[in-house]
Amino acid sequence: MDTVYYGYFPTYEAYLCALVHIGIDFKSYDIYSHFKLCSRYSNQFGNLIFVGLDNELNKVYAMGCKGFGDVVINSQSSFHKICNIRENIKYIDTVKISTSLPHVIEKIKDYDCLYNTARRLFYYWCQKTYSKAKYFVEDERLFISK
Amino acid sequence: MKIFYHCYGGAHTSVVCAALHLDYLPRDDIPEAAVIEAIPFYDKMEDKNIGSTVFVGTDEYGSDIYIMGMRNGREIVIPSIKSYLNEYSVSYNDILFVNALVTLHPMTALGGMLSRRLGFVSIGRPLSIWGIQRSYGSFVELVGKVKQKEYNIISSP
Repeated sequence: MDTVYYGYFPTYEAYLCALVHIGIDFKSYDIYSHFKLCSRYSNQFGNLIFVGLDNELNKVYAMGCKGFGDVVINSQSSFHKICNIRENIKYIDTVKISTSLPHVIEKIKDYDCLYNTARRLFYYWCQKTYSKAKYFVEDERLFISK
Repeated sequence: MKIFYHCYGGAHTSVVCAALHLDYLPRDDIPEAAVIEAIPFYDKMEDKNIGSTVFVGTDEYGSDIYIMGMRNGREIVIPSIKSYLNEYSVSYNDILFVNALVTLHPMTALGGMLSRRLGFVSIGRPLSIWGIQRSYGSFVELVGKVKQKEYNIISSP
């Protein structure tokens, strides 16, 4: 079963949960290159971003839906039936671990003078959210396996 | 091909456009309120189902006609559908999304909100129909353009 983590932005909570899901360890991960990715693709609303394969070789995606998560899921589920797509998909809302910090980072990152502040805030956000994401993903995976 | 008429809630303007497309409604005359009210799925879409597609019928060219609601998020919902189909190797060249909100009358918006969101069906539904009747010519024009485009796509080699 493929998994789609979705949230307001595609590259913050949703992407972090997807990374945790495929087994990327925060300590071995270059957090600043993640920040560059977040900055570049944070406005890719609606697009499925392929993150990797999990240990059962299922695809894991991140998706940003702004506030339209339910509408996007309903529409994708409808097209799933219309187009006879065989793969089953599990949608996981990351609202439980979302904070307002990504919105602040998104607001300030485009100003040259605040870029470094945004980067530091991002590092802080990653440290705070990673442990939450780890428990969250473990819970969700346990729930799926049941 | 598959044609999806979409509006805010998938309950009013998209339903009227789909009915016009399938010739359930006349093109040369504004229909009575009772006729509009009797269209299948008119003012019926539940809020929790917004985003789901509803099959309405098949037109004379063999195309399937659907209705759906997208709230104000069509810039997100349409790319998400295309991205999803792309990811599962399904071609979307024969899918046409038509925005039925371009001709929205304010009374239809008000009536739709009263009926669907607030549950005042007895007030909201007649208001929405009144608005539909006022802008009926625009729907006929829109559907005419869609049918022409559909014909061009189907007849092209």
